[in-house]
Amino acid sequence: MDEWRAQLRAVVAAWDVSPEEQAAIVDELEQHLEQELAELSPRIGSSAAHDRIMSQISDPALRDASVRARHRPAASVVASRARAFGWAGIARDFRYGWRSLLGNPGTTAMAIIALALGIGLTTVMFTIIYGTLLRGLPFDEGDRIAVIMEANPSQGEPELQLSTHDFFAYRDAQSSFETFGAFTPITVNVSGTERPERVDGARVTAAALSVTRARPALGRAFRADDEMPGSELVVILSYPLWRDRYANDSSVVGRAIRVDGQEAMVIGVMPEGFAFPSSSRLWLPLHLDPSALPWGAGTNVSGVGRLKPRMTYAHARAELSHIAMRIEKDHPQANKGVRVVVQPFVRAVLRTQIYALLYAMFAAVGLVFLVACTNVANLLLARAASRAKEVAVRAALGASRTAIARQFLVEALILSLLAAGLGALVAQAGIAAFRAATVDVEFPFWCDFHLHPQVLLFVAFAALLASLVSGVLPAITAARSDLTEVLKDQSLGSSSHRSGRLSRTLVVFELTLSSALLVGAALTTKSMLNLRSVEPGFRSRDMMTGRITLSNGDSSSQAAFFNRLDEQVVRLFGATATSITSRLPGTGWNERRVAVAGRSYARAYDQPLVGHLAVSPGFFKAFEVRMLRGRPITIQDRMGAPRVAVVSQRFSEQVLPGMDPIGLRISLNARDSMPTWVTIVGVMPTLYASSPGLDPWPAEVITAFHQEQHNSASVAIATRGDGAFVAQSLRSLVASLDRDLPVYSLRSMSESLSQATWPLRVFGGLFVAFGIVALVMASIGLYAVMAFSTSRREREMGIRMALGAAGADVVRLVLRDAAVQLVVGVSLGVVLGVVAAHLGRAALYRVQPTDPAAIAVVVATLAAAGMAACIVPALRATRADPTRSLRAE
Amino acid sequence: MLGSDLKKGSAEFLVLSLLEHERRHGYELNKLIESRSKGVLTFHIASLYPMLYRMEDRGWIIGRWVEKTGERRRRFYAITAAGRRALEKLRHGWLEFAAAVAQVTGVTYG
Repeated sequence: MDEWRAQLRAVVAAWDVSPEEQAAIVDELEQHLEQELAELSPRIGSSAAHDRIMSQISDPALRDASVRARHRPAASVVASRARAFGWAGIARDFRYGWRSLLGNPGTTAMAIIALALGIGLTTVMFTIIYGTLLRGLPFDEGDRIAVIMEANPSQGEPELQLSTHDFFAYRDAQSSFETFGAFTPITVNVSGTERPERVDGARVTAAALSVTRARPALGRAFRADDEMPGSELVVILSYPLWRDRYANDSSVVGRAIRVDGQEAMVIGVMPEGFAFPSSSRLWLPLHLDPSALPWGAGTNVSGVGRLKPRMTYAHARAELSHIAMRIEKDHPQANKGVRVVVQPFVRAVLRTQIYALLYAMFAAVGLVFLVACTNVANLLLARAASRAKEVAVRAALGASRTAIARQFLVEALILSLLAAGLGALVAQAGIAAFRAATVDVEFPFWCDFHLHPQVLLFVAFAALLASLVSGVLPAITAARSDLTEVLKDQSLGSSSHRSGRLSRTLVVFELTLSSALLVGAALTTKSMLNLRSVEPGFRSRDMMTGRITLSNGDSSSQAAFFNRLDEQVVRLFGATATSITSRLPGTGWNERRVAVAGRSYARAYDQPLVGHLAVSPGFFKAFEVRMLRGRPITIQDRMGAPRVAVVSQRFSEQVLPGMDPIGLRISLNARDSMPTWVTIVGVMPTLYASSPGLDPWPAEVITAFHQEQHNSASVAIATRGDGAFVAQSLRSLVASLDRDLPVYSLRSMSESLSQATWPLRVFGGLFVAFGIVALVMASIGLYAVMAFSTSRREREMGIRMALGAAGADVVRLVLRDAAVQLVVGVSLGVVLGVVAAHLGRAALYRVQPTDPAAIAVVVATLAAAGMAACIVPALRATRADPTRSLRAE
Repeated sequence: MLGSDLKKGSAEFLVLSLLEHERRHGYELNKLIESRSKGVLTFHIASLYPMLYRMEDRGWIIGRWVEKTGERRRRFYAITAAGRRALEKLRHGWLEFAAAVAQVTGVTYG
């Protein structure tokens, strides 16, 4: 250390101020004197300049300067050390940290914004997961309500309802549940007072409703005698049905309404928000009577039970499995290979894909959060390195290593707390955006996407975690720095090589995570574009659709009704413009197993899975589906005529490769005791299908609607931009056929198609947001590290230029340095992204995880952003002044 | 060089004036005083910094460490609202004083 520096320290050490202030004052005076020395030396020679500096320091006026402690009463160094562990010390750390962060507003703002985005996005995702999975049912101890189902793995059946017999067998033998009931979802036509309406509901046993412990808001719940055969039909209304249809009239309790054409007495109204078991707006009693049925026949139901206090799921599973084995032994015919599945309600009701998707998104957002923390850690590291001297002086003046490390952690904590506040606002905006994007999506009834107190707790936790993750590295680096090394070093701490290496590693880490996220974002974006530009193979624009379900009459009268309906719509809208189908193409394909005549299949599982629709003759004209070979389904294909089918191109490639399908016979129910065989008469192009179990362009079988028995149908009518009028005409046409019959799900074909793709749109959009945020943060991180490391190398650059290097050479040198980090980070990230995309490829649509275009876009984007982040520091390096650098030696 | 008493009394006035429109660090303040007074007024650190700290204590100015990426942090001083009021008063007093001196001695500036 120079003599004058030591002297200055000694003088200031005698002042009556805190160690922090002493360090700051020494720093300030030292800079002043250094600058003066640099200016005087060339004019009057270095030793004369040195003398002048020394004379200033030895000025008694400096020693006796009456500098009072500015921020706290005078205290000795020893006392302040003792206090550093108390509350006062922490309060001082906060004050000092706050001032020091304010001193560098640019970096501070960047760090806060990065963290706020990370915390905000993580919170949005957590809110979605919390509202869907974790919060659970809004009932007393809702997590103890279990759903009991069966599965038959040997037949490839992961999910089966319970047969009536199995339900009673479990119910009567089990001791794990305090209540054990059954339900089955239904959709009924409600009529009577006003226009008829189609209502989703459930048939439930009395126990199934009491499992929830919810009480009716009006009237009473079901009793066991409501389920008895021959008892009067009763019905319980949901709050929204009571409000909308009966105008909150409490006298409706005790009155009769018509449900599926039958008189039913209203006995109660459930409280607001109650829609158990799934979006139910009405409940009917479930009559189950196994006595007259062979084992396995009759109504299939889902079991639902509430665990007894202190009883666990594991115990219940073990007990019910035992019962299932006994049933299998007693009734091998019906129950061979059948296993029982006991799951918490929420887990059982949500599809596995949704589960996987939500957790995949959470993992992705976790990566964004990590990138944000890494970013902040990097900014703090750079600060720590440029403050190496300040830290060393503080240490020299008696600050312990813990005190120094704590100071850095406190600064990270202040950053995180500010970021958490801002992040909560980001989250609020994000949740609002999510709700807006999914406004027409029907979520399970218990879903509730708000910033719950638990979510805010999560934000606070995330902030603490962020401060730990991002503060701990700089804290350790700062505390470990070698005092004498730093103080000896003239060049603003080039001894920070260690932290430089650490920063580089962090940047590579950041780049890895960001490029992995960007690969995901690029692949989902491409999936979305593919989906949007999908040519479904049938007309989807200007089609109005509606659905009708018959609840009365036998199968022949129902067939007669649909024949009449077909005639009427053809007469009203024209033969080429209307179609009656079992369900709508696109979203309504039924998943069936197909058998080809003459082939044998050991298990149901071995039969190929196909999509199935039944259509009226108008289908091919109305949906503009041209035949590739053979003939379409025509008006001659009616009841009594030989049964026919049309298959898709994909079907003939997949199921009948190398064969002429025309004339072959297939069956969709080959395992029934009376299978129906149909003859293939035509081949059509493959149509788009959006169905969880099917490929988007699957093997398809189309049969003749009028050759089968259906109790429900979708009607599709081509419009000329007059959808509303067409919908109204259809409604009055149906009313003229049956006054009690509602037409529901009235919507355009394109609406029904886009509704099926919302998860990809919403979560794809979120993913893209994640990717962009990560990209921005990685660029900021790269910029900060490059700016910092070039400033460290200013002298080296100056010397290089003095020795004849051109500016371009220096730029190249800096960029090469950055390029190494970019190449390593991006390569690792792309590999990581591809591996992750491979695991989640179910969410992709017509994109391979290794899609070269998507990967090229990611690499190019990151390279461009990375280079842009480095160009400014590189250019700054070229301005290094050779003479100044040399003089400093 | 000017007498030290007179210098001392006017030093705070000088600093406040220099900070009126811009924040500056200590070295810059000293250089400005030196160059604008054509070398007549100079300060040593022994007088400049203790004075700055006193002024900060009084709430006339506020010092903040400012860091720029890649540069060493520096302490910049800015004038506060109280500092502006003090500056007004000093300016007023100075004018009165100068006018009085001029009247008594017949010396005018310029």
